[in-house]
Amino acid sequence: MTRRIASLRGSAQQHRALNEPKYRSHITDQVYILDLSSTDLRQFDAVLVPCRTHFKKLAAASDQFAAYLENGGTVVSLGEQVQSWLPGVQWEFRPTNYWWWTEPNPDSGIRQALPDHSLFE
Amino acid sequence: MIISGHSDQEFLASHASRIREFLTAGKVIQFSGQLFRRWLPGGSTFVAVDIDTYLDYSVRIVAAHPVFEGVEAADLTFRRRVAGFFARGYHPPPPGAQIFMTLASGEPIVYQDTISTSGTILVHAGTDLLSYVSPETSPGKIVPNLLEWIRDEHERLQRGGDS
Repeated sequence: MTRRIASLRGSAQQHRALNEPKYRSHITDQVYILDLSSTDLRQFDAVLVPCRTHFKKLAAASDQFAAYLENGGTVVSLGEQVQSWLPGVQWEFRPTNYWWWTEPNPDSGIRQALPDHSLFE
Repeated sequence: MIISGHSDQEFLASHASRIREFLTAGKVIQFSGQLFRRWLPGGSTFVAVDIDTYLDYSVRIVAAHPVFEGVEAADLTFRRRVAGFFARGYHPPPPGAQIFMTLASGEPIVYQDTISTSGTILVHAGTDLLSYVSPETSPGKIVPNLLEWIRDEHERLQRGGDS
């Protein structure tokens, strides 16, 4: 069954990534962040929230997302959540280190918590 | 006016005529980022560069600009030995624009446009210039340089554009 997947969109980087053919074909609809509150999310099986989405707009939509999830929806959230907007998700700060792989015995600190998840197939 | 690359370009596009009026009044706009909507006079859609090696991100200074005075190109290319922060593509510049920096293969990443309007537009196709605040490396000079250049350029434009 083809799933109906929406992605939120606001920034230039999101616009470019979401319109790349390899991703575009999987996204049913792009919802401009300022149109979120007037969009009925129930029409989608899943909603992708890219990183760098305006966190105050997401916080303002927290009830909308909670209702969507309550109704069986799926939310895929990327990026930090400095302001909580998704039920059960808390943000813990870690210092930025984008140069870890240039150091001796490089270790990103990232571990697969659930290696059997289909995401890692 | 300094406009961040994280700005909402749908919103900016809905105010394109106000932005043009601002420039027509002899004002200065500095934009850093990737254009994908038409709101900046002379602006074109960002073109990502195909990257084969990190050396493709090498920044070249091809003409001196007051904003980059005292700034080393190598310090723009690398941050903590990692390349690719400054720019990963370019905007095809409008006719008559002056080019100040390119990537390794000559793609123009920083241009100045005094032709499209009677104001001045300085466009950088990458990370916000205001983010270069580290005082330890030469790009730390960008922010004070930028603020001083904007004041000087605005004064020059208000005098009628003579240098």
